[in-house]
Amino acid sequence: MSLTDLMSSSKAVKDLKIKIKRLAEKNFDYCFICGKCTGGCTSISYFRLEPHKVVNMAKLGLVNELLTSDVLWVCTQCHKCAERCPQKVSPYDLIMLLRREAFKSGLKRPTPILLGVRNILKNGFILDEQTVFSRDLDEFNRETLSLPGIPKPSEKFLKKLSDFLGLGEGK
Amino acid sequence: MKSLAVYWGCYILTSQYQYELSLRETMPKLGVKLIDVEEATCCGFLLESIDKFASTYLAIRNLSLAEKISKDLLTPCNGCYLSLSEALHRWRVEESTRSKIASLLRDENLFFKGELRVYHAVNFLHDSLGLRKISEAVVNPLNNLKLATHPGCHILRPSEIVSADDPENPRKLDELVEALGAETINYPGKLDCCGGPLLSLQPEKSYLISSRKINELERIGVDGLVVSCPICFKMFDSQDVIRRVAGGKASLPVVYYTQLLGLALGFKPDTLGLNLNQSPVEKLTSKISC
Repeated sequence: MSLTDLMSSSKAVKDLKIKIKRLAEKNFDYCFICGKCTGGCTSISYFRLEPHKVVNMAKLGLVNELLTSDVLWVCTQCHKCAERCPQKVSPYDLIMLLRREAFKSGLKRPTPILLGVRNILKNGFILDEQTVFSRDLDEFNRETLSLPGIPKPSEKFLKKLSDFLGLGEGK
Repeated sequence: MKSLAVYWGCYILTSQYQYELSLRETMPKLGVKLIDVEEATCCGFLLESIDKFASTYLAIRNLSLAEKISKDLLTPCNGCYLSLSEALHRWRVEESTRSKIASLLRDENLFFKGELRVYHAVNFLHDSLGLRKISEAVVNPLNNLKLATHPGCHILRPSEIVSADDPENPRKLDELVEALGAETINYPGKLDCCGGPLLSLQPEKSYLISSRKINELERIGVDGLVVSCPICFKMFDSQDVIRRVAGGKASLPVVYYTQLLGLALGFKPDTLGLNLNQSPVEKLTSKISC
């Protein structure tokens, strides 16, 4: 997974940079590319996520390339980059902000995330209750383990959340 | 008896039953009564990637349900602990978020004062209950075990929001393990992330991340890895997947702290759901009398 090819980069879009900068809670212009974020990034070795590049592409206004990149979606959300940034930039917050913008604009809507949201709108949780197996392959569930049932949130609340997210059934 | 609300979150309620079983068994023995937050939902962690306000709203709604039953809330999940703590922080400092959410809550006849204290299992046991109370309750000291701990990310970072332990040198989970009589080790990859939040987006490759810690600990040689988060646990305990995806011969017992605590308090392994762990925990239990 690679973020950009410098020989074929699109042009910077100043308006988009201004928009992202307004939405960002931390000022990413303060980045002086020390590289501590990328040095400690959980996703660098297997997924080539380089947080300092994300930050500097945003600085340059190459926002469209970021919004369409798969790189935003390989962050493990470990928060190390934000914790260790000497300039208090928080690449993490920027990556999450870009995810939300990509999702809202429909440029990227990863299926697993949509499935999780659908499940929240169905029963309040990202997952359904599962049957599990012991190491001896005996089956167990909440009932056989004498665990109490999971109370469902009210239909009224789920409907409200669904309207709110604009992702209700049929959309 | 001290009583407090408990918020389990998605992973524990839907599949990580051994964490729930072991917490429900051990807490009364330490004089703690847990009251379930009814009609709770997802903490909002997933929604952070798509809608920040909705994520905060879900978290505060859960907190308002908890505030009805207790002044203190315990959550055993690291991810939930961060989501709930961050939402509480936003509620306290962001006037506009507060008034918008308060109005949404009113539609359900809910009201949130924002005075609730949120604990993770680790800082609740370590700071609120205390190491002495725990070690005094031990009937079956785990003297023969040398263990590594994995504190996980979201009880440590961002340290301006969550402060369950020192973000660069966390010791509380180690001290909790030592209170049971076991020895703990320090190791270079202790702060490494489990890769769990990538599990749904990268169902196979995310295990490459968790494999590193398991393989590192196999090289060092420990009796097991102690975890305090259901997502981290799944990433480290699913060693059939780790072996398939990353190669190697991963075969390291992985246990929840509350399972270990239960063994030291004299509970039988199956009562604590140890039969549900997929890693070879009998290698660990065979070293102690239980």
